Order: sequence, then structure tokens, then C-alpha cells
Amino acid sequence: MTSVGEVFEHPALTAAASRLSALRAAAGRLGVQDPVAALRHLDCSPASISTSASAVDTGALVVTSAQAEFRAGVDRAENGGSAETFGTWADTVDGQYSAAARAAASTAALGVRIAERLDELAVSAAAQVSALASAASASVDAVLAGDRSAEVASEVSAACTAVVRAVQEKVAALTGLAAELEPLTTPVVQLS
Amino acid sequence: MPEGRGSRIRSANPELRPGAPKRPDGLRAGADLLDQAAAADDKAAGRFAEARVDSTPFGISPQARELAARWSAALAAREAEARVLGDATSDLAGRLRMAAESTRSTGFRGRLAVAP
Repeated sequence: MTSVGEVFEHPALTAAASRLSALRAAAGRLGVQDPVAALRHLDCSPASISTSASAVDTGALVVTSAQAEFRAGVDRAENGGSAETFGTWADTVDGQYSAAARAAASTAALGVRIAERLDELAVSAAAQVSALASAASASVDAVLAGDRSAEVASEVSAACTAVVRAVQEKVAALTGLAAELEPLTTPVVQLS
Repeated sequence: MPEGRGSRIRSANPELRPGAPKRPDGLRAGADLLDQAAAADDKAAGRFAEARVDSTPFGISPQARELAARWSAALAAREAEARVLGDATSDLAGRLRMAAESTRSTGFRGRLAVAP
């Protein structure tokens, strides 16, 4: 391909867009849905989300080490004769440390999984749409050569529709991830 | 790690119970460690803030934007938790220092009626 291809955040989609360029040109001639534009709806950057999840994981480890220092401090205070009420408060805060550490670890783990899933969706969609374009290549070539017969036009149109549907199916999978994330969107530790 | 820190409050051994004779140095040392824990809480909050990303890496579809919004909300929740822990821990450190100070200034060696 000599034309400058479209660049996506996800390299698999950039490659797929390149393989869809002839189908896209044929779609343009026929006035049907642009298959490369459909790919935009699935574009993503799993690496950026991995980096974000990694920062959350670091934060989770810091919360755990803060809890260890907290416990050491409470022990020293109790050895120093702190009042019973102090111990009661310390127990409450200690429980909050545990809950916060768990929530942070869960968030980090889910972030990793979201990045992996987005990557899988982009890679599998890229393979799927490339196969669709490849299967329609004879009709695509015919349209680009000026053939407007119903048979070739229909096949090109059907390939474009199939690309759009494939992308929509992948995008729909994101709803499940959002549902998994929902319980982690509110603080487990609140100001009392 | 077992749940809870194994509070001594309910210990049958009076030597291990809070309310033993007050030692201001011990209270201050405890307060220092709590201050370190609070500083770590602030550091954790900073890490959660650094984790923020805009919605672009998730994608432009409505579903991707919803996912991005929830990820953002989860990061905000983690940051808020770390800040609450930091405040609570600092508060306890301050109370220990007040107790240490009152013990030193009054020469009180028994148990205070009020916390800590």
C-alpha cells in the first residue's frame, strides 16, 4: 500500500485500517458505511491503562506499608500507657487501613484486566475485519475498476456492514468491565 | 495477614493493657510513628492522583467513555480513602502528643479519664 495509512492508538488497528483501505475506497464509491471510521470506535491505548494500573498498585503497596507503621505506632503508644479509648479508635482506623488496602489492590488488578481485555478486543477485531476485507477483495477490486453490478456492490456493502457489526460487538463487551468496576467507584473509608 | 491488629484492649494480662502507667516518651515515640504512617498515606494519595488518565486510552464509544468515567471515579475513591486515613492517623498522633504533654506538665502517672 503506497498511500499514507490512518494512524490509531492501537497498532493492530493501524494495521487493520491499512488492510481495509481498498474496501474503504470501494465503500466511498458506493456511498456505504466507512469501515475504517467504524474502527475508530474501538481504538484504545491499553499501555496507558496499564501504566495507570501500575501507579494504583504502587499506591496500594504504600497503603499497606503505612498500615504497618500505624500498627507499630499504636503498639508504642499502648506500651507508653495510652488510654483504652485510644485503642478503640486505633482498632477502627486499622480496620479502615485494611479495607483501603484491599480496595486499592482490587482496583489495580481490575485495571490490569481492563488493559488486557481492551488489547484482546482490538487485536481480535483487527483480525476479524481484515478477514472480512480479504474475503470481499474480488468485489472490491471490481468496484474500484468501475463495475457497479448489483452482485459486487452488494458484497462490498455487506462486508462494510459486517465490519461495523464486528466493531459494535467488541465495544459492547466494555459494558461488562464497567459493571465490574462500579463497586470500586465509591470510597470504602469515609470521614466519620 | 490476620484481620485486625490484635488490640491489647481486651487482653487478660494487665501488663499488656493500655492504661498502664503513662510514659510520655513512649507516647511521643508512638506519635512519631503515626506521623510517618500519615506521611505514607499522603504519598499513597499522590500515587493514586498520578494514576489519572483522560478518557482517550479507553476509546471514543459511549461504552468506553463510561468505562473511563468509572476508572476515574475509582481512582478518586482510592485517593479520598488515603487522605481520610492520613487525617485520622494525624489526629491520633496529635492526641498522643497532648496526652504526653499533659503527663509531663502535671506529673500525672495514672490513667487519664479521657482519651487517649
